[in-house]
Amino acid sequence: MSGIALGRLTEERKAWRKDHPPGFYARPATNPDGSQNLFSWQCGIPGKEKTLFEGGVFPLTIDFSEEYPSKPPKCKFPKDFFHPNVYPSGTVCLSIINDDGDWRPSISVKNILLGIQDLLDAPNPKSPAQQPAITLFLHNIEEYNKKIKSQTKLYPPPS
Amino acid sequence: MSDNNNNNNNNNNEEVKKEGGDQEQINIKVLDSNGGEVFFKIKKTTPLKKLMDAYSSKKGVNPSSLRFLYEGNRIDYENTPKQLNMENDDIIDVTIMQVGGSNN
Repeated sequence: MSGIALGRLTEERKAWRKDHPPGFYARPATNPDGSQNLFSWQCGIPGKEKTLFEGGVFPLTIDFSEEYPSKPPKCKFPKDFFHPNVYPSGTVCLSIINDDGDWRPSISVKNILLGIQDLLDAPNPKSPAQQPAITLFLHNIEEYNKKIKSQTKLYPPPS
Repeated sequence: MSDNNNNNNNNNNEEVKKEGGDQEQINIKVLDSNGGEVFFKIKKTTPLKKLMDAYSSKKGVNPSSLRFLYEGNRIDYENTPKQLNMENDDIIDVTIMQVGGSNN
């Protein structure tokens, strides 16, 4: 089982190195001994231009299981990330990476990261994952926008 | 890995290739935030300053106004592809650095 996951992850890694959308990064974590852990990736998602997320690069961890790609990986922003479709733990709630939703084994790491980038500025209020963000989004959009803006400042591009 | 090709062991020159890799050139793509691509060929042991300077002059901008990133980390002038474990066909991301304030 692990062989399949590892093989696919090796391919994903290779494909990403040769071709990825501008401003994104995605690199396997480094083990204490210096080797690479292909089952956990550190990623950065740039906010889209002309949105309240512009100028930020949002850190995301993708954890793959041995059952990948039959099962989707788990995608996490930092704890308490402010967004209607992100759980308090930071886990992203999105149909294309939902096991009971639209996950398909053919979805690539690139697809996932681009999907999450889209989600940033286009939350789905029908499927909220945290209280603070959904409440403000529905009832006080000005305050919501302010919160989003100040959160973006917390995540400047790598320097 | 050591290829002991015993013919012409010229000991006067720099770095006869040891691991078979050092003198090898790799292709690197520099990708800007609009998706623009510029390709470079560089030796694995050459400091990336050379590539950054070449890119800057090609674009007609000051090198200090650009930020070069590899795997999300800023590249220093002295870094070589070898140090960063770069491989053939890898991508370097480039963005324009924003500076606050009005005087340069």
